[in-house]
Amino acid sequence: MQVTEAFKHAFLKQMLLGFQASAVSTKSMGFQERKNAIKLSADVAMAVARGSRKWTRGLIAGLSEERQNRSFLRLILGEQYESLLKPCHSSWKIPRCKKIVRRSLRVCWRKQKKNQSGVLARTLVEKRTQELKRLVPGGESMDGSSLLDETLDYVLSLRAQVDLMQSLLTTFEASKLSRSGWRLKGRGKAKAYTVVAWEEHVLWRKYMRRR
Amino acid sequence: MNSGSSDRSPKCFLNQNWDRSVDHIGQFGSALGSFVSPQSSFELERGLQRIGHLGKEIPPQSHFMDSSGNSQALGGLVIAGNLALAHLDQLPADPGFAERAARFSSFDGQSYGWFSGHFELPGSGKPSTAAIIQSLTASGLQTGHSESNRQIPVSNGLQLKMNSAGPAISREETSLSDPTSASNGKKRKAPSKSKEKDAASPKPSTDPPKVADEEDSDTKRRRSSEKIHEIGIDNVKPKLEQNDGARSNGNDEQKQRKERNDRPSEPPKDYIHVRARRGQATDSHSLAERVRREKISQRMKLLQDLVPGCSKVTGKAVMLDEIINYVQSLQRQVEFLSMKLATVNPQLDFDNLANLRAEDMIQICGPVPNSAYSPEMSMVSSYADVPQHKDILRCIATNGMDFHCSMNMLDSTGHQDLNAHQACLGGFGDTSSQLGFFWEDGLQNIVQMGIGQDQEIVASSHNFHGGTSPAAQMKIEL
Repeated sequence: MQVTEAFKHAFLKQMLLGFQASAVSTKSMGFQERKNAIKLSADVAMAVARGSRKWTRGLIAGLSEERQNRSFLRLILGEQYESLLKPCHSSWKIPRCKKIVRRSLRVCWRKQKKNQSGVLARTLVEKRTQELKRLVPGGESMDGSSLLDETLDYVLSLRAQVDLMQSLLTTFEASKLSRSGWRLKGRGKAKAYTVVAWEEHVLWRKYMRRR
Repeated sequence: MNSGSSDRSPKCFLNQNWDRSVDHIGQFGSALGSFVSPQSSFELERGLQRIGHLGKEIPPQSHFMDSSGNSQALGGLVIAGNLALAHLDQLPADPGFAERAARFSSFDGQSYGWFSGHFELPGSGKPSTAAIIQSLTASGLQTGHSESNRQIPVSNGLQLKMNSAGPAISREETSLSDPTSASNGKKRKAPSKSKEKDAASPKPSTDPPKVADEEDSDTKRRRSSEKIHEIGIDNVKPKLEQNDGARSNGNDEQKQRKERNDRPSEPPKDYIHVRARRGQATDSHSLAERVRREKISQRMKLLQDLVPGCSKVTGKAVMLDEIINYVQSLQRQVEFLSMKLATVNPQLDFDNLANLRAEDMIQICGPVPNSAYSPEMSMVSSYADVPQHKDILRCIATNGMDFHCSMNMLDSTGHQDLNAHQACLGGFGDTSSQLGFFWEDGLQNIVQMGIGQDQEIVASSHNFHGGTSPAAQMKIEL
């Protein structure tokens, strides 16, 4: 997957539409509510802009598990919502013929008897793939190579999401500053900006410490 | 499906004697006759059912039957598909119908997902027909067409009929015949050389799940589309000798796609054909394992390029660790940013913004250099590309577009609304867990923004030097 401009446009547009739909700025919501709504619309925008992939379907399925999100999802996705939920691939395990699995396990066992050194490495890898499966949406039902594929895709989209949200944020802040009419000139202005930056920095630290 | 086909036994293709090629063609002809005037989509479906059944009938005999029978079968499939296409254009675009057609191909859930994704496209006749053709190709390919060796003149003649169809269709239909020709040639040239997973071919019934496990729906899709590509060449010159050109094309594409340069004679078939390396086990299981391992290592390499700071790391476990950390940090960043946006939000008028952006988006076609761009600004923005933009949206979009670019935007026309006096910043080179870097960047950008606004308001270029020193000081303070 390549992160194209079209993808970013679609992403941004969807995100803004989502903000509008959830009426984030007009309603009087609590801080937590607003944050959740923003995150929800950002995630849905990412899934919609990317199209139909395993992780997007898994993401939307995961989001729709909470009742409060469903109306929003239905609003945004429209008729696609139902069709996306139906195949339910995220809840399937890959059907494997038992005979073949047993046979391959037997072969693996024979090999394992020969070299025990690789066991530790294998269990480490196993553990980590399990964790990765938990992280990537819809990852439970993927096998090794497709999991890596979906991870690649997901990472690219996450990066794009972070960048877009970042630039949104900076432009909002810039507009906020310009609107509030800073009259300082020269160094004063620069100082004002450092104050803003420092506050951001403090917020970030707080957030990271919480984690 | 079974009952349906048994009802029409005189017309159906459950003929066990594939050697009787002439009979075959005759039966195809009768089936095609039924295709010529479909009364409804249901008729067409039944016809497709028959084809699907035909496809399913071929596998048990693939290994043992006469090559000609197979190619004819495929040719018949092609023709039927083509005629179906010709009439599909008349039928109302029915996504449900296309879905059902897709179901007839013996794909598993993975590629089914792809098909259903395909159907999400704005419904027009063409995508669904494309999907049907693909499904037909797929079903045709999954049947042991690999065994067919020759394109007999009869099927060529039949294929020529297909050329009379629409141009969009002809490309795809010609592509259908290519897999046979390509695989034909390959089979002829190197039947004994390549170590094939022949354990698979005699038992195709059990193998489709295995094969599906091994391959992505992606590679399958690509392979079928690639075969489509190849066929075009072959149909133009119906001679058998032209298989060389198609084959070498297929070879190159195969090589590039699968990155198996040590297996030059890899035919584009459904099953991955692996040549055992010198001095290695030739057990089918070990071959399969090796294929799987190579796939995984390919993807790990791609991920290595993506995740920052992983170039030196070797080994699956450590790589996976890094990937997990990266994904976690990205997810945390998203949460944090949404929290920040929540604080900013209530002060902004989102509805107007959204409308504005919808308009702006339409105008956007890449970075547009600002006429009022002054040479000093190029020095201020220390990163590589500095496109100038007049709108927030362009700013954001191009921000998002170029990770490594930070921009300063001046709006010298002096709009008094929200879009005015915007210095647009962004473009973090590395939005990963390197927080220190993150903050230096942020500060620089904020300062540059300050400089931008400064210049704008004072409207003189000699402030530039006054502007840079705070920046320098800022850095020192940090």
